[in-house]
Amino acid sequence: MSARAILIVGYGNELRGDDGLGPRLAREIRALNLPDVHCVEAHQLLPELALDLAAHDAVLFVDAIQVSADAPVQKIPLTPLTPATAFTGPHVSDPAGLLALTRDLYQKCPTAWLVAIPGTQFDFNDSLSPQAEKAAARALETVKALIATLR
Amino acid sequence: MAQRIVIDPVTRIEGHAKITIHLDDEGNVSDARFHVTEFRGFERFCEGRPLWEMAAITARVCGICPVSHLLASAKAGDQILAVTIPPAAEKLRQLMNLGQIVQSHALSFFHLSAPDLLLGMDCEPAKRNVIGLIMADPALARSGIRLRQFGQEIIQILGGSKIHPAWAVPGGVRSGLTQEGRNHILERLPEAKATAAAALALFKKLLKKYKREAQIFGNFPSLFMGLVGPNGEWEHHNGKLRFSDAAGNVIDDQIEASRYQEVIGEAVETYSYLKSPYYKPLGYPDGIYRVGPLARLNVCSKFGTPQADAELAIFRGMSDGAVTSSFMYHYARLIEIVGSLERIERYLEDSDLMSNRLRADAGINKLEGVGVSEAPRGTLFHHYQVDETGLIKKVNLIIATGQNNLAMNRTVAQIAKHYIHGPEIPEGMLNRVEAGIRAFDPCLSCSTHQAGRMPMEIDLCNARGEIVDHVARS
Repeated sequence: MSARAILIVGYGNELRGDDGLGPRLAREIRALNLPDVHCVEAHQLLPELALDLAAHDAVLFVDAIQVSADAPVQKIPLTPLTPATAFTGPHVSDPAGLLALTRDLYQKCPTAWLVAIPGTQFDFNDSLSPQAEKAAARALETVKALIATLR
Repeated sequence: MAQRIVIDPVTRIEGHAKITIHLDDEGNVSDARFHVTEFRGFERFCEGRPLWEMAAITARVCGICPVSHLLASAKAGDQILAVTIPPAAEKLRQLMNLGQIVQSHALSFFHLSAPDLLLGMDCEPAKRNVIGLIMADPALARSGIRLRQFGQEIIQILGGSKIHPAWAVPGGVRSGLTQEGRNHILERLPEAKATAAAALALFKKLLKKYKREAQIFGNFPSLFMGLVGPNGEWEHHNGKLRFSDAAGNVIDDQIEASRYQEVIGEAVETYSYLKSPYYKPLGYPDGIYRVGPLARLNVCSKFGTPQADAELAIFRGMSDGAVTSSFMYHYARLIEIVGSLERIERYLEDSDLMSNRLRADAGINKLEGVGVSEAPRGTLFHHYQVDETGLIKKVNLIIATGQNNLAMNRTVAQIAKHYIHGPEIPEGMLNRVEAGIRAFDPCLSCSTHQAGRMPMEIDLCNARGEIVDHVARS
């Protein structure tokens, strides 16, 4: 049996400090060269990402979340939104909305999780805060463990 | 009793804005205005930055059309270096701009405007969006997403990322096109062309249903401005400025971008962060002009590719002079996708494209430069002044959406006066007012960039809609 194809979507604005956690994690996971794991870095969740989602069995969205520095990395299972509340704009979207778009366009919806990484500094800045650096290391382990369970 | 109706926010546009409609005592529309309510400040915070950073910084003005800013900025930089860039760099920049036009126009038509056009202006608002479109016509929605992805792939293949590629620089571009990238674009072209042709055929069919809207959505005489080639052909990156009038007469032609201040003035109104550019020889506001797809098709003598020229002939057959309805921006956008895809195919066959001579090196040789490029929404100017070390002293950006500001206001007023009578207003009527703005595909994130303390007005209204207080600063 072939391995399940897994997509990592790390998103956020790398010019807004810790909001760059998502793209940073996507690059780190890509560097691991894990088989059947594909990584996308994105500023925002654009509608055409639905094409990538439809081509994978599972997707992990990786995003920063503004909470206290010592908060844990969260793993949140996702389900697509209902049509009435789903994706309506060119770049105003969340993972559940993008899943709904994928389901409605391609009649396929991958298993999905959101990995939410705690960040504290979201000002104009192109580097992570020391707390976010530590959280990134924890998040990498979380994502690797999730990938293992999704196989 | 006079009343005000506010549509806030205007939806399915890029950026933030509101529309105010004023009713007279009889409940008829006395005036209507389009307000841009977001403010940024790029011109000011670019001051003091090195010229070499400007392309990457100004690309951040927008996530929809970063390429347009990147290219206009690089062209301003070329002027300051006083260089002629290598042919491969020139053609690669054009290829990227065509990819940008395709992806942005696809977004406008398939994601933002098709819900109005396919589901109907009176469709329930909760369904009148891209999800509703998917339910009604999933094949169209899928093909639209693929077409936008195709344009973005061209940008990514050339620049390394879909959004904000730091690729074009003063003097040329950082990297060339690989054979693998060229093959990928060529492979996907037939599907993109088929999608564009199908969308155009669909729009022409829909036009029969929307004859009334086509008559009323911003249908008025104005000037049109765009870049044209030396023989008046459609241009998107090089060429010079041309103005034509509503009768189709060319009134000013082959104007160098560096002379833009001789022909374009910028007025400021208190109700919006958006400036109101006008054609100087006619003064303000008589010098109202439009830019973007409709204007480019009105000012050019021909498109320069077979399919687009055939479609242009049909488009022009609708009017004795210029096509003056702003509703036809949709139509013009689709013709531009067809023509851009033909031009992309042509570039991919050009042997210059694969050259590795990509950049002319030079220092600061001039202290001022103006770069101009056709963004999807219209002509974009970047004007820089630098010191002898290349640090930016002054920036002026004239953005496509700003140049359509006067026309958007006139469009809003025209639609409101036609459809709205009395305070009881069906939602579908309000949506028509918004749809009139959407026809221009405005990008407000790009447009509200000017520096300084902005004029602002706040009206305080009681429950009956009467203005009880007014605060203004300027």
